[in-house]
Amino acid sequence: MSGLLKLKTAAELRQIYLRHEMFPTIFCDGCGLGNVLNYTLWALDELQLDLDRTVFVSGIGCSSRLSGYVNADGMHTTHGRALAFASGIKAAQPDLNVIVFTGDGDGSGIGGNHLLHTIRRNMDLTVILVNNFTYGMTGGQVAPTTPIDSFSTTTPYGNIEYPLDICALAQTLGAPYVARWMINQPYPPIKSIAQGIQKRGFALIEMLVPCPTAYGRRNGLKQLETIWQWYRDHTILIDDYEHIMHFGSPEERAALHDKIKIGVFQDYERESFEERWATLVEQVKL
Amino acid sequence: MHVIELNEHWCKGCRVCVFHCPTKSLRIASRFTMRGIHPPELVEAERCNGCRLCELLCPDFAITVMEAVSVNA
Ligand SMILES: Cc1ncc(C[n+]2csc(CCOP(=O)(O)OP(=O)(O)O)c2C)c(N)n1
Ligand code: SF4
Ligand code: SF4
Ligand code: SF4
Ligand SMILES: [Mg+2]
Repeated sequence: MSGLLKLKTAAELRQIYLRHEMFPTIFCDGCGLGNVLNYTLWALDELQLDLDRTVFVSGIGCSSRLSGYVNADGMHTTHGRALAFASGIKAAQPDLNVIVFTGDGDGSGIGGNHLLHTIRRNMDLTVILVNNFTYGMTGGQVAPTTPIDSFSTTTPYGNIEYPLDICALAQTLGAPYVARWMINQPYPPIKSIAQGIQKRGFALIEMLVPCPTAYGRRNGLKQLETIWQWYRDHTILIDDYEHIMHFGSPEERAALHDKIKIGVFQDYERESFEERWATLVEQVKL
Repeated sequence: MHVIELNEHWCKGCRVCVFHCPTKSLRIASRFTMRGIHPPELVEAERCNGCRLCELLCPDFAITVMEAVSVNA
């Protein structure tokens, strides 16, 4: 991939990649889900990926609605099961590009076990997991990712549980590509999604997305400007984080406690399920 | 000089473009679109530096930044 991105205009992107009859999107004002769609399409365009050889798969939730807007084949499946359907597509047609849109609830709550085992198998999928700290579509229940002490419809006195670090889990399970981004800066996630698509094996890109309606409203982040700014104030690039941990003063280190790390956490080569499967078939065939 | 093109069917008037513009060249118009929202407008065309941040950050693919071309140069 070239170092310098030359992005098409939004008008050109609309024309090439979107199902116009589905617009405007169902997303609330100031919801960042549309940005995830934007960035994915810019990444596709950067790679000049053939839309006729690309399938979008999703589960259920606001984030899982994303697949329906792309003018390519796709499956809007059942809650938590996007990865099972995606694995099936990949096993039957390994030459297709399969991109999964899922939510924190869909992908790491009800679908958490699928996430575990799809990474373990190293299926060649690109999974774009939207973490908005909540079950947005159903009105804002607590999710496995909801920050400690925050409020939701099911934690009216504050959440006492520790949130799941989805990227740390994926790293531990050996996913070849693991990254997390906020949506406030377009270029890093666009480049990262393109890297994830090119990676053979499982690529997980977690996108931190503002949900002013279901999460923000209950946590002092109802104003759009405030919730978008929150992500700038509460994220730190992994390199900066490590630098401060090594060389920072005690105060600088203490200031990291409420920061979420962003960046590429893991990027290495590992044979994918499809490759090992093809080798096995070659070995045992009569 | 730059101009913006707005898809008024898709714009939600969310202001994400307005509050991210580094040169503060956009504002929300007082007029309504046919969808009943206040769209953004470019008030400081001279000041806009064509960075396209508004375009890249719009969640709804609604705004496009273009270089203004003079017809009688
Ligand atoms: C089997 C099943 N259980 C529960 C639901 C209700 N439900 C729909 S969306 C959703 C949560 C989605 O959360 P997330 O994946 O984080 O998506 P978001 O809306 O936040 O983007 C739930 C619990 C369902 N549709 N199916
Ligand atoms: S409820 Fe939240 S995640 Fe769903 S569309 Fe609205 S802002 Fe976006
Ligand atoms: S152009 Fe986009 S970002 Fe700006 S107000 Fe309209 S929908 Fe929001
Ligand atoms: S191109 Fe840049 S400077 Fe011009 S209106 Fe958009 S964000 Fe502002
Ligand atoms: Mg969610």
